[in-house]
Amino acid sequence: MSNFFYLVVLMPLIGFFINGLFGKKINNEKISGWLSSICILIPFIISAGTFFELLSMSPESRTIHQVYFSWIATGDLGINYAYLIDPLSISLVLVITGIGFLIHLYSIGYMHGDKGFAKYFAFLNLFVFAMLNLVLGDNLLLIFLGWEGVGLCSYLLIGFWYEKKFTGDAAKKAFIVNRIGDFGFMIAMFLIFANFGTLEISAFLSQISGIQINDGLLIAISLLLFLGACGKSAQIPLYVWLPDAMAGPTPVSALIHAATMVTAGIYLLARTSILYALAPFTTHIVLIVGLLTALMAATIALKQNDIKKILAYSTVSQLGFMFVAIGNFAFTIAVFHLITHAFFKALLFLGSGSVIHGMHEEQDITKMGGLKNKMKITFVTFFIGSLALAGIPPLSGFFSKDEIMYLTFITSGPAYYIITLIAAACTAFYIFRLIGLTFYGKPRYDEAHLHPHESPSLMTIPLIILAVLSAIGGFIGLPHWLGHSMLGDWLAPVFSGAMSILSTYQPEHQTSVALELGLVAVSVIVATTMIVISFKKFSKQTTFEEPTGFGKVLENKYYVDEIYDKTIVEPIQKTSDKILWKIFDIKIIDGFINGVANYISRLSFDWRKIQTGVIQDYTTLSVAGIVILLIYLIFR
Amino acid sequence: MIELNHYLVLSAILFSIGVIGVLIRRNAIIIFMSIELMLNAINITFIAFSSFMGDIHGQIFVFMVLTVAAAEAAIGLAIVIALFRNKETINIDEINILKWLILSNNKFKKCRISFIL
Amino acid sequence: MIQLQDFNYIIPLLIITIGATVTLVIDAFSKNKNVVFWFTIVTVVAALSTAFIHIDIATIVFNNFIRINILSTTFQVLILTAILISVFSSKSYIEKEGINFGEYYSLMLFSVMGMILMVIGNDLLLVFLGLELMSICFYVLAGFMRKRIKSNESALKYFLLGAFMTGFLLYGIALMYGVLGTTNISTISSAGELIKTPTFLIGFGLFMVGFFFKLGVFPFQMWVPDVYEGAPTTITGMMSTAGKIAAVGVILPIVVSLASNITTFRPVFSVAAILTMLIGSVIALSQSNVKRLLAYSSIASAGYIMVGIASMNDWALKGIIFYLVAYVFMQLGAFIIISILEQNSSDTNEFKNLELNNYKGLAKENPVLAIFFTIFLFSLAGIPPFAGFWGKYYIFYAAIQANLIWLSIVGILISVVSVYYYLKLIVYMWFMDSDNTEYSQDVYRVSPLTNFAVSLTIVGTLFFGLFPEVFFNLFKV
Repeated sequence: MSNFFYLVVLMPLIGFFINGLFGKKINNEKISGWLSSICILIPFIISAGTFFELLSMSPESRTIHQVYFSWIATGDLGINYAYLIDPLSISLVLVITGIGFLIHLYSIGYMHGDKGFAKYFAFLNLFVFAMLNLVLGDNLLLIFLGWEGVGLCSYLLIGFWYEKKFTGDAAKKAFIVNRIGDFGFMIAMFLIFANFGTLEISAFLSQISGIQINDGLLIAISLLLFLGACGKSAQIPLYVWLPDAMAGPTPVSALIHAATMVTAGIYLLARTSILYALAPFTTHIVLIVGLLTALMAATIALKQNDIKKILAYSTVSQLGFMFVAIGNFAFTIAVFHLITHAFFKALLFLGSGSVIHGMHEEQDITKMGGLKNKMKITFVTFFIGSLALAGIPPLSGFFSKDEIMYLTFITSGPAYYIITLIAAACTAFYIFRLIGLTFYGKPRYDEAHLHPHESPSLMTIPLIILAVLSAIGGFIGLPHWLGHSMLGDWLAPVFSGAMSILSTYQPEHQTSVALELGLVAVSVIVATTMIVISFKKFSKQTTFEEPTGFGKVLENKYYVDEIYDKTIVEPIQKTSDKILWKIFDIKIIDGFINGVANYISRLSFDWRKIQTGVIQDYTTLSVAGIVILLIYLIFR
Repeated sequence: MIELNHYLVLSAILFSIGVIGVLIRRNAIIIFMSIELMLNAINITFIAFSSFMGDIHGQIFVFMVLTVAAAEAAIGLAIVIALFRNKETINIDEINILKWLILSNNKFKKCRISFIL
Repeated sequence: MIQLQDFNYIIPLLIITIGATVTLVIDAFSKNKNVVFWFTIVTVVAALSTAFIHIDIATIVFNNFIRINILSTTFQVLILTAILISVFSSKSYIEKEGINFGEYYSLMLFSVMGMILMVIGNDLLLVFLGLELMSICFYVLAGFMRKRIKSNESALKYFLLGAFMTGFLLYGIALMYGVLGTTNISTISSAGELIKTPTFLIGFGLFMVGFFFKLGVFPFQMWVPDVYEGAPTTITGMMSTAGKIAAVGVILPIVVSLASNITTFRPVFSVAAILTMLIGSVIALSQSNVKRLLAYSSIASAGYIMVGIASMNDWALKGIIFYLVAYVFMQLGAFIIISILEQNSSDTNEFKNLELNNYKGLAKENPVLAIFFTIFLFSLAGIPPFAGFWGKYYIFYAAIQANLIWLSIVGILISVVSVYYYLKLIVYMWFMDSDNTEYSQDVYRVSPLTNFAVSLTIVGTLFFGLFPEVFFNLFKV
């Protein structure tokens, strides 16, 4: 199947062009929606075929390098348009196209009747195209193309309902915050090219393999790449755009802002795992940033009332967990959590979309309640997703999260473990607060006018499939006390380079099954307790008071947006307004530019008169030119 | 004895006369005749070189030049006639609608004139 | 000896020749002009597809008269592509302008025959014949709107100046012949020290002058604005792309192969390059006629090509060819859009929607046209990610490789000036309201064939902008 692999990337692009150019002319929701869904399904099938092809090879040789054409070649810079198909990228391609297809299906139901229907699907296909380039590209420039492409699509889709002002603001915020991360990515790229003369990742990684640990250059490059990852994967301090990004349509939040795009940062770090193994200094920073993000976002989610905001903060927190895994050099586990998270978070978002759809665009959970009986499928699937998120065995989230927590304990120490445990406890608490307020208790909406109903089957079928995946997805990565981790074996060749570097300086950690089982028991007990407390409290709550004290701080998200406004945005605006614009720009730059421009246009008005219209003048000028040429040639 | 240089100088003089004719005459037909003079001067150069080097290529070239000149004459006269039908003049000085001063909708646009350079 | 299989190598030329002749016959016997049009399309497509046959072959056939190699094939393909797009865009234009005669297509094909002879000719005799064949067809086509004084005048000016400059070209060939005793280009390229004799250099200088005239290099650029303005717009597009490619196709291989012996010319070419860029970019600012504006922009482009020619290295070869690739698409696209507006004019006089003022508010009246035109202008201005950017980039890279750093700096500064007038046009389209309130969206009717031509150009501009190396993967220059 790898012979047709170019179709994997080409089909979404074709879908984008057809829907983008002719969508309005076709003007048929069925054709537009199904067309773009099929443009994702075919790539899924092909990549599944490629997956089995890889599986049939011996583990060490499981890479296919497909060079399509030479893209840019000037001087020392030679870049091919080439894809690297290996266990890591194919896993992500399967997640992107698989979940992407389900979300496309769901969107056909969800976006029904929207006037921008074809445009929506065009953007969604373009997103998949860009995301696949990001994951498959064998060089940093191609990855950067995908990186910027997904950023653009995210911007377009957050602001999809651009008539509302806040969607536009949210889109701009996402774009600008991401630019800061992109800046890091670009500088890292320039540094790599300047020092290693290549942008191809494998060539770069093989060149750095010999460099000593914590070399200054490697730390700089890895930190800058991590800055890029922070922007895309919403980590402190650049996470602020993700909660606002919920202004877009809910399936978009599920696909882009939960399952795929936000994991690009994790992918980038996993792809350059050797670099991070060589720069433990940076990796430690990754660990701390991940821990803080996981904790901070989980606590913020405790006090939010917007159903999508809760899930958004939950996403930020879970991404923090993935960075914690990378911070502990557990790249495989990070990818494992990435995959399980993609399943259950997509499920939760789509479920919330179904709730919002049924409640006629109501997103405030304090105005819901008692939806359990009215939306049975949504409720059951949402419940499964929540259990997976909370880490209840044997659902998928349990395996991946507990593995991260265990590794934190043995690699970094008990103190770090406690933080992850608190974050996990908060996770269990807020998600069952959400369940309690939304599905249990008495309805708190106007029952006379609002009749919540189950969503159409086009929306519930993806929910069911994702619920099954969330439930059983964890079995691909069983911990060793329970069995055999298939994912671990599958990804082992990709990370073997990093692991061998790591073994040179890091002592072997004492692993003990008893300790691991003990920790598992602790976390399961904590999670269950939190679920019970939360559920008891919120399933019966009817009145809501303004939170006070720390609760108020949490509700206002630690005032981070306000702090950013006061310390960064306003000073910049003031200096740019008072000094840069009024003095520097208007007086100096504009003065200079306008002066030159005026001079040139006056010159132009004079010079154009050489065009007299008389043939003899033209011939005279030509002959004069020839005479000068001859004089030069004779007397030189 | 007539040497190669005599021919070359003759042809150069003829060529220059042709160029000067193009530069100073105002009648399109006469300008064209001057151009023909230039071409024939070149033919002399070709034949002189060909004859003194004993190489036939130059003379073949002359035939081609003559043919092309004939074709150009046909086309050129046709163009002049087409212009004459519309404008009733073949004086080059009067054929200058296309120039820097834009004649727009039968009005002259005023242009700012200043002398910087 | 001429062998029968030699004809294999000139199949595109044969197809065009037969096509041009048959078009004349068809036109004489058939009342239906569509037949001529479609026959022309078939001819050009056939020639274009057969041009690829010998893409990997480098040989000299017909007694050293025809040279087939990757360069000549590339130039042939470029010329034929430009012609194909021009022919597609021509039909509705000439119908609307009342010049729907069969000779139009026939003359186009004959001019292509001349161009192909120029780029595959390995003897100055063939090059001269090809040049004249092309030029004579262009003289007639420029004056094709024979009821219009502007068209007549542009034909006369082009003809007199063209014939005049041919004189210098021929004189140059005569002098070169006198020194080397041959007009064969391969022999000239391998002549060695003889090239450094003053007589040869003077002859070579005059020879180059003839082609600089065709390219529109200062001080031989005077005809360009006048002829471009007066000629039918589709012909202007063709002259400014295919004609230029053919001229470059002759001088570029010669200059690169003689590079080490003609270093004397490097300052000449550099100065000419700077003055050409400067004249083109500066005077374009004060133009109020769109065709004249683009004419000056094409003079500026000739300046960029001259930067490459002054560099005289292999990078210049690559750079100029890529610039021409981009140029075919963006320049033709811009002229086709001008022709669309011209066709939709309600004016009956000679000023058909060609003033800058007519472009005010185009974005509101027809956003698609405005977007396309904007892309072409951005590409001409050399703004990434459009093809024109890479063209300029490669050319200036070549100049830097040839140690002409000052030339590339000046060139880049001047190209900043050129952005100014392109943006001016864009501002007119997007930020000004139309003077004429009666226009509405459906005023602009675009025929499907023209639509197709514009689509080809926009696809080319975008594709080669995003994937510049793809071209060289196919044509391994």
